[in-house]
Amino acid sequence: MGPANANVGRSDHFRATLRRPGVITALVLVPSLALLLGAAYGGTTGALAAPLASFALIVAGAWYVADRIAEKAFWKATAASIGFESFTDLGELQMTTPLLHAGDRRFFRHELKGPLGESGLLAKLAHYRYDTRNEDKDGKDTWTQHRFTICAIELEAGMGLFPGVYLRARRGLLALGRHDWLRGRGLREVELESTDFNDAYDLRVSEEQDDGRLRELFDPKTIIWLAEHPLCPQFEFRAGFLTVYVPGYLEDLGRVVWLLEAAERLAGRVQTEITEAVA
Amino acid sequence: MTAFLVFAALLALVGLWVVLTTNSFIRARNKVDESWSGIDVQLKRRHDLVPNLVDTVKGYAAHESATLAAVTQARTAAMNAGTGPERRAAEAQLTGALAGIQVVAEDYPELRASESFRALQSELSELEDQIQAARRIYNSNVNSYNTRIQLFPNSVVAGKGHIARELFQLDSPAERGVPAVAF
Repeated sequence: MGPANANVGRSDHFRATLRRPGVITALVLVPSLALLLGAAYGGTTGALAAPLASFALIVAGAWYVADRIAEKAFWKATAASIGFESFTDLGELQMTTPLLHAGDRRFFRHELKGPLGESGLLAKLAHYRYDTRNEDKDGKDTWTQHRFTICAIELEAGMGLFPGVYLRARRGLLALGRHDWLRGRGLREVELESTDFNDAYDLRVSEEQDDGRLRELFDPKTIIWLAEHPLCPQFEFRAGFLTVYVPGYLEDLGRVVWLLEAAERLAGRVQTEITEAVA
Repeated sequence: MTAFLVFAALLALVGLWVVLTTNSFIRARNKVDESWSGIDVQLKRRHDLVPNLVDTVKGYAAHESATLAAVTQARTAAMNAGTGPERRAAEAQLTGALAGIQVVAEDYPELRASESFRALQSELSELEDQIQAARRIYNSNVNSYNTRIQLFPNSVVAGKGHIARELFQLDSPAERGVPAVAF
């Protein structure tokens, strides 16, 4: 049984890192050196501040390292418990749905892939971040980060039925001034029959989407399930790729499993529609 | 002059509020109607399923003609029922009659083992789930609409043009009762 979340074990790793001979040596030597240099160049203040600052820097570095080790341990254990393995080929992920090629630069971390429950589909799970570039008053670039946890599934057969379906949590007034990766794509907004669902979600589809088929996809059970889901799963389906996502980085096993279950259910809905269309 | 302008501005604000509130009532009412048609679609699917179910059961349990006739009658009544309480009663009766088929099936192992019966049963079960979900959506919309028109000062704008809707209960009163637990 691995750690339940990415924070578990961080303190242990921190203590272990501090006990490393290299770190102990650094904690002795660097502040001593800083004391000498501080005294030589900064007088009494320098002699006090320089060792303290260098000590704090080394401790912060050890904390960062411990954090990364705990995170790695968590994802390794998570992969084992959900039957996934890590992968590095990101080419397919980056070319799929609008979210995955949003912004000016993109990063993936903790990429895992494996079977999606009993569906027979392959899922790719990752922490995903895209950054948007802004210019400050001095004309310098500043970056705004947008973080997500994503689960991507290939469902090529659904391409003809659903040319573009984008379900996002309603952002309300908070959306003002925030980057919208769907803007300018010529999408139309669709309201379903549930007030609760429409309050929670913003559903957009491409112009050529058949409304009848869309209503079949969002059957009453699915509408209720989505409207009441605590994780508020969102998704995009385009070009035969389904990306189920939630904002922010999920860092506990329970929520990761929740996301995978949501992805399985949504992929199942698309698969059912494909089967019915073929029949 | 200033007093007049203030009065005019207040009047304009009140007018704007009345328009927005009325529009929100209409939107909510339309959602209620839309969700009703969602229930209607699922109920019609159930009506369409009944003849196949009756035929399949008849093939294995021809002696249960009373149960099968009750299902057929309940289906006809549900299809011919209007809206409102009459429809609810007819659909509740059909739900009860379909439950009777499940009871009958218990006495006919061959029927239970039949692939077509199992497929129909599974389809019926899925439809019942969809009906429940559609009903929850409808009832939630009705709640939202009723609350909106009954809250003060909205109730002043709602007046007599917007009447509170009734919730849709499909199960029979007996099913809603607390089940008896024997120790």
